[in-house]
Amino acid sequence: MRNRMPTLVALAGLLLVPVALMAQPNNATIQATATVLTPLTVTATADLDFGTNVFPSVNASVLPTDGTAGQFDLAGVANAEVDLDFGTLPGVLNGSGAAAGDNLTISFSATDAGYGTSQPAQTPFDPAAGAQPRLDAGTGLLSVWIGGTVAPRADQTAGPYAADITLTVNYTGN
Amino acid sequence: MFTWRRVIVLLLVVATTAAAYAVPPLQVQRRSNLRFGQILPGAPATVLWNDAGRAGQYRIRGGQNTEVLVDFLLPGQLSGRRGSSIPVAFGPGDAVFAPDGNLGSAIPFDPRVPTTLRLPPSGEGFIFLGGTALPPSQAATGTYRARVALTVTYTGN
Repeated sequence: MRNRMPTLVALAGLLLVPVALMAQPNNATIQATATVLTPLTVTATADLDFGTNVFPSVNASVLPTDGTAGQFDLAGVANAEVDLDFGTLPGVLNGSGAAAGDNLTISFSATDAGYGTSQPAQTPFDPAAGAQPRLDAGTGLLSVWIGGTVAPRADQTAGPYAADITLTVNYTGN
Repeated sequence: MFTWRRVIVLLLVVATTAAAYAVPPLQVQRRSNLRFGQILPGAPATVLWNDAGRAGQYRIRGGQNTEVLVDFLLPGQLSGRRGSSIPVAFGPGDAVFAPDGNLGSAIPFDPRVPTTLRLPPSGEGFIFLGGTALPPSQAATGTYRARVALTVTYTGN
């Protein structure tokens, strides 16, 4: 008996100490969630058309409120703010057919673009600066129009000229 | 000389000393999900850790003044239906540890890196988590989700 008691004492200590030192991992999991709303769509519905009667040395302009203005139609989440960006606008229209190899200067003023749900009531903006309007609060629709001015030279080659105008639209998240 | 009385006293001394090192088991509980809410395609959406309505939140309970290692298993994307997904990102300022839930003394840390923290005298602390969802411009409409797991371990300090 005298020899067993110290051993029991030591065992008692060994049984208790590991409880204190043992690592005790624990974990919990949450969910990260998001709901993606309707993607934005942009459709080019009308070209910016200066017509077939552009005369040498006579500038020709199309206003964004004109029937021949360029038009883009947007559709997305109602009342969402969008960023309108024309990027780099063309400086010339490139000739083709009989006018191949020539080009026609084009420029855009600070009021040559507009947005709205109806063309007569559009809000003007500078196409070089872009704009951040909201889609219609009821329908989620919006249209963008663009005009411009071509400046043919006196020796401008007769024939068709064209260039791309690209509008990039993104939700701002607001 | 060895006697029963000395053995009993010695046992009590040993038992008392061991109990002083004992700490309660760690408890980690889910308090709230990290909710990005309704987001628009092409528009990054960020939830800050101090956004009470949307930040993820965990509660940790353990020994008073004990050091713990917190380790997140963070998702790289949220998954939707039919295999669709949107990327999600976490930055160095997206997590904080708030001893006793007091945001005024919250300690920021990088959730991407295992981090040692010390529980307060109460033994209770809270972790808040923010992040950024990066939906592509052509992300499909619908609900997306992913698990964000937090493991907490005593370091022994």
